[in-house]
Amino acid sequence: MNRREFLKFAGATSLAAAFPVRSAFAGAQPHVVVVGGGVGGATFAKYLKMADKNIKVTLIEKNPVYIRPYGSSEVLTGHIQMKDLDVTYDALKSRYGVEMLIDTVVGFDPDKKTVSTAGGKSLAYDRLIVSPGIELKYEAIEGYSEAIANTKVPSGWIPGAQTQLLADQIKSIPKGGTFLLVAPPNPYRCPPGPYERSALVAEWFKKHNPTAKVLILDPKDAFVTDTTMQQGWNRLYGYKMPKSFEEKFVEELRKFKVFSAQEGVDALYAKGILKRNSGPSMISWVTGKEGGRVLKLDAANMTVEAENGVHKADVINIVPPMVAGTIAQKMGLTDKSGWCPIKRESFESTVHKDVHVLGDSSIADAMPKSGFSANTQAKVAALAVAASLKGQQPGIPSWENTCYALAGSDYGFFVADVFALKEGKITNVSGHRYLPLNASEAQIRLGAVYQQAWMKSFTDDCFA
Amino acid sequence: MLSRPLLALAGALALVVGTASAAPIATGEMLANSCAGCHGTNGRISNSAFMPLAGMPQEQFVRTMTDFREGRRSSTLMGHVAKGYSDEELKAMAAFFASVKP
Ligand SMILES: Cc1cc2nc3c(=O)[nH]c(=O)nc-3n(C[C@H](O)[C@H](O)[C@H](O)COP(=O)(O)OP(=O)(O)OC[C@H]3O[C@@H](n4cnc5c(N)ncnc54)[C@H](O)[C@@H]3O)c2cc1C
Ligand code: HEC
Repeated sequence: MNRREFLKFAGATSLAAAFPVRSAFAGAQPHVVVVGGGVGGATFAKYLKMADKNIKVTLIEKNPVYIRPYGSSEVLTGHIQMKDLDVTYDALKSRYGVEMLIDTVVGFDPDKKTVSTAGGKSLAYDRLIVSPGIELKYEAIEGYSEAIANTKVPSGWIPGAQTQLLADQIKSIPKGGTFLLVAPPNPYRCPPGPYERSALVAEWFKKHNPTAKVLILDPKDAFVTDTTMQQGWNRLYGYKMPKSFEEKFVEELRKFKVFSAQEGVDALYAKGILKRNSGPSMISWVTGKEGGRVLKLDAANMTVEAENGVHKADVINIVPPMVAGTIAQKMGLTDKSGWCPIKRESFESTVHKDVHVLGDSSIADAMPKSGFSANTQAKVAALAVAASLKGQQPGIPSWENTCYALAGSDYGFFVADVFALKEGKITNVSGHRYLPLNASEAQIRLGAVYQQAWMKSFTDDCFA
Repeated sequence: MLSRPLLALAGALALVVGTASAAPIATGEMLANSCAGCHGTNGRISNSAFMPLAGMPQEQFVRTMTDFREGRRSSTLMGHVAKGYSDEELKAMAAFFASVKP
């Protein structure tokens, strides 16, 4: 029997008090340490305190103010400013009694159950929660590096100075110039994100630089919300629907009995599901099949070499491949995929006991790497940790994800899933995930209203 | 407002009283936590396009959710969300939200 099983056994037979271990089972106030005060970490800290305020919760975060990634593409169009992305930790401290430590975690000792920080502190924990987000693999693209991202070819997938740089660059694109976005391979943070960003830049061009173009180079042939997003591009930016997607549209509309078996591609246009655009499109999407995979960046000449040839642009935005946050890798929590395997009902790592991994860093089956996912994962984990500190098993879990996305300021839609544990995997149990292709104008407009409302309701649920 | 453990208990009790099905389900609290990203923590929210759920009478909650699920009430999103829950799960959530002071 290992130490944990022994403690469980000891707890169950109330022998625990006889052993001088620093642990909830011995009756001392348990200490839960959270690494990373982003969506996953903050939500976890708040909900654990709500479940049991007698648990001591310390949240270690390297930045004194959180810059939220969700909604950060709205900075690029001037719809909001950088400061609107700032989220403070005040409410977590004052309302919920979470202890904040602004410091960077640099290592841990899973046997002694301690974490160490750059500031020289060592903290003992009963449970450790790790939600460090992502690390961007700039070097995966030849010619790209963090230094280049900070100065010339920003990524902005972890928001900060690069986001502002990109916003400034977009404003200085010459008339008729090109914004090039390099989309990442799966899996990555925020599946609709690169395409939403492209749409928002196109919307800005439409107003301020109407002959400018958005070019997306992609190693993939599909993405989450690819039908509804392209439908938005088609209606707003002169985008011509690729043949293969016209067929997907017809298939889906037949499945939902909007189209009869006789109605085909022509009906898409006759019924206003799509527009017949004859002029040039403001957005082009080069898929993997068409040679969209990017091989090389030449930052000095502002060119990108893809499988289908060399592309020159005025602004290049690269969303590079990504893996679990650096500290999760250092702690040995990742597998060879670069992400962290977990037990679904608690998000406890399968590598280290009493360590849980949340959010983007975790491998969560059908759940996308999104803020909403990180938020509901954190709640499942908080209830599981509260139970486990009382010597109980985790309850039956339930999760949800909704990513609202925009094709324009008044054009909103979503992907929505309710998830349950089925045969050991996190599985969609709610069926169809997207706004219907025959949604009304009002539904689409409301989608954008709710997208904006969500930025606040969601931030409050995580941080306040 | 009730404390969380009491709320959880309320949910659990409603379950015992309210269901015949043998299949175990998540607690009302666990299920309701998924709604908070839009409808506010514990279903409490103000000044938002989203409506609060805290304090909603159980019968009204269950009827609204089944109407969304069966397509009797039109929606942008909730039709999708409601399809993810069984009658028993809706009852468990209803008990949870009804027990929260608005
Ligand atoms: C452009 C864009 C748009 C998006 N839009 C949406 C959306 O509409 N809806 C949605 O649901 N999601 C959206 N997302 C995704 C969402 O922001 C992320 O999925 C979410 O933030 C993940 O949460 P997390 O806790 O895993 O990581 P994060 O929120 O990134 O938090 C990680 C935290 O850990 C800290 N940290 C890391 N290492 C250490 C260390 N060693 N010591 C101390 N602290 C550390 C970091 O500073 C950070 O604060 C979007 C993302 C982008 C980029
Ligand atoms: C992503 C945001 C989002 C999430 C998550 C969400 N809702 Fe909703 N909810 C909405 C929106 C938007 C409406 C308005 C109807 C519509 O357009 O879908 C709504 C309406 C409702 C209503 C009707 C309120 C009234 O006063 O008539 C109820 C009840 C409701 N939701 C319950 C829930 C429950 C229960 C959950 C969790 C299982 C949930 N919602 C999760 C966005 C959300």
